[in-house]
Amino acid sequence: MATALDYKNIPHSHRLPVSHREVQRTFPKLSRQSLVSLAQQWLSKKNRDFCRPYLLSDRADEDDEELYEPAQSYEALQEIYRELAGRKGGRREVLDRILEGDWRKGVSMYQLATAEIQYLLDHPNALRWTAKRLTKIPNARSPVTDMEVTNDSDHLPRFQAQTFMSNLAKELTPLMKAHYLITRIKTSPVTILRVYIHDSPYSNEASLVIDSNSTDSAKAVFFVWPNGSPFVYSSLATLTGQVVGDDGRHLRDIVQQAIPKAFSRPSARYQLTNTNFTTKSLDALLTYRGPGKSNAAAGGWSIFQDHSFSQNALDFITTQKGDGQDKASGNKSNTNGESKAGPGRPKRPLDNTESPGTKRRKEVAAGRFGTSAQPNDGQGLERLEVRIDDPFPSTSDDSNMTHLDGDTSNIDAQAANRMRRGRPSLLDRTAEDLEEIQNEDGWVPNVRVTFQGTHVFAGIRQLVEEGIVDGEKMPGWMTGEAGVTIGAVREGRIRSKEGVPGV
Amino acid sequence: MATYEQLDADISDLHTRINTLKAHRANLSSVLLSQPHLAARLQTQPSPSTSNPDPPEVTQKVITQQSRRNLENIHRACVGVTAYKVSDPDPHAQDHGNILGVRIDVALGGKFVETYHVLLNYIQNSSEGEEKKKSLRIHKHTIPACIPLQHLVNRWLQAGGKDGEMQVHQNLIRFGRSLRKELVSYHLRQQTLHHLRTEAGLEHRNPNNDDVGIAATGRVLNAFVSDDGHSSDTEEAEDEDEASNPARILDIEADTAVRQVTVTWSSRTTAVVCISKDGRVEKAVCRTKNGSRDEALSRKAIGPLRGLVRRLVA
Repeated sequence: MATALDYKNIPHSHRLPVSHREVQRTFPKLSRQSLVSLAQQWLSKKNRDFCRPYLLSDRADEDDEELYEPAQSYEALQEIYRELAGRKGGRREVLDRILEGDWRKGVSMYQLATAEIQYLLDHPNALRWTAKRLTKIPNARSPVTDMEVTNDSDHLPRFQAQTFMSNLAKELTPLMKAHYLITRIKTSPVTILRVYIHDSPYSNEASLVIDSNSTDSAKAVFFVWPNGSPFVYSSLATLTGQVVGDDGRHLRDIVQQAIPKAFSRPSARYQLTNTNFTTKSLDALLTYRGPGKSNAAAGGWSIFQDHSFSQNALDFITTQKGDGQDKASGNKSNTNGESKAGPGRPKRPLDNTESPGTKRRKEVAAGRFGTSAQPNDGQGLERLEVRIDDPFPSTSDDSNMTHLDGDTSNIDAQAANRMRRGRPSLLDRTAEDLEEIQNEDGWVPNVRVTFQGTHVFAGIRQLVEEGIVDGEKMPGWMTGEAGVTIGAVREGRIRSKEGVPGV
Repeated sequence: MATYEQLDADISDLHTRINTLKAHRANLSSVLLSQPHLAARLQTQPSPSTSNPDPPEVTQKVITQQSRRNLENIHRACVGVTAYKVSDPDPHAQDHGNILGVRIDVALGGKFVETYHVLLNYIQNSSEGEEKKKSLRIHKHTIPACIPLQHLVNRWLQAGGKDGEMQVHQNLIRFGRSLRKELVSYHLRQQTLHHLRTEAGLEHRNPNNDDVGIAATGRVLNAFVSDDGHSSDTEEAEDEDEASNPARILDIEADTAVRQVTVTWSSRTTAVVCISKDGRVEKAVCRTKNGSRDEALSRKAIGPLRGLVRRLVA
């Protein structure tokens, strides 16, 4: 075993024992189909170096107790998996074959990484993602050329995988050893980087094996780049309910800090800025912080990005419109009927007869939410947090009194927050916010509203349709048009930075 | 029973037929409604029979709707950048929810391929000036992230500098014009890329590849980091090609904005070219299998993007 420290990454081909915690955690979660397709990818010619299976030639002595006869060659093994793919069967069969048969000597880092990415693609809501933005730090020397739009100017950071990887490794290897895998996904327009953090000065295989004693820390960090946009989504790979220790978070922060540095070039420096957006759904991320048309047209404005508002300029047909709308509203009422049919609800016949009131409420909801916020569109946000910075609606005569009260309560709240352990919330008022509120006449209580659920905006839409929320007086941020999951409301609107939204 | 499938097929056939007929009817009715002087002729000759169930107001409404649509469409089709008014339903919206929409239609090859919107509102500048000036600000938009919208806004819709002294000088027309130029050139580059891929015979080959079943979910981009000495074979089943045939193009891919195109040959030569916004190959680097530069090929690549494949193959 080499004892000298080194400055290398962990190569793809290093193997973890099958009993390693990470292997035992990842592989049993995969479906049969995914396992078979992964095994076939590992056996393809270009990946064989990284995923060496246990073949007949590796067998030193005859062992009668082995469950799986080692295959003669790669081709024979490929044939076995092709046959497994062809017929039906249990997941366990393939899993055991992989872990106890063909890769009994260990699973390589490459295999672990591809398996975890496969799981991520199978379950796009498995992890919690935070969207960040790569922002160019303004160049003090040439602020004008930075902003020019010429024939060959480039406003997005250029992503070149190889250069990026070598820069990132240069930033990180002095601090930690890591295994990197960067993949361009075919089915959706994203590039995924997985960094397996190995908190050890060594990068050899033996040190990987020892490392299994720390039980709480998450080992892998995921970063996703939607192609052709300035955003980055980052996530810590955790099990559901697993508490992330400070160590894991700290290591992730180190990797995260290295990312903008790896993007930077001389005279073009980048930093990561927060975009106030956290969700579990990758689809929602691609909608709100993606490469397409939908970033700055969320909520009711969604009618502008699909073609429900703007007809093609060569489409002269006016008469068919009515039919289409009838059909759409019919569908809508059907889905609502289904979701309503639960215990304790009135029976179906009541739903079918739409009173003019319900019809009107549905139209209002359609006007406010457009085509967005459908319960099964797969773009559910789980949490929306807002802080209200507007003065309390008060009558004119007692405003003086409450003003005084307001001051003390604000300070109390701040003090209480400082006493509380844990990380400060993004929603805590900063000194500037407080000052601004002091200037306000009227009492500004510290009110925070949190919506939580599987699909917050679909829920609000349903409340509007049922008449619980007044769809006409409802503020715009309740429709999701602000495109954030955390924010402060001022004058009825979520406060946003100057500049163009969503770029 | 075998008739189940047959019945299902029949039903779906009928459905498609109904749909085509409906579309045909809609088309015919809009043609009829667009007849010149239709309203006048209907008025002068009131239908004597009672078979016409529509009262005159309805026909009038339908006719005006159609003629307005025709006018609108012709305007949009000819101008390319059009404006309209929207009202924001948000009760807290700025400027009472008055919003100016700018619509950009991108036409390519005799068709309108995409429509983009920029929605602006007209608001007070937040800075405490002596007199409050109003300026246009982008409220919502549907411009993809690969278009430098922020930069165009800084150039043409800058609302007062930080010092407050700067003259508010907004030029919506120039803004719309330059934004349209960006969008159209973006679509033109995309189209040219598609042409190149077709020319290299890549467009219809892909479905076959997917049938093989080992369809990888993605392409690993750092597979070269392998430390064990062997060179990893990047191409399967292409090795035998190498000796006999001249190299053929395996893949042409580009980033989202089509500003950088990578061409891969079966001989593992790769070319990376940078493209300017008006679709010219500005810079090119070709590398052969062993990593050395192919200067001649690089020089050949410079020129219009449209002829890239032709130039490289020749």
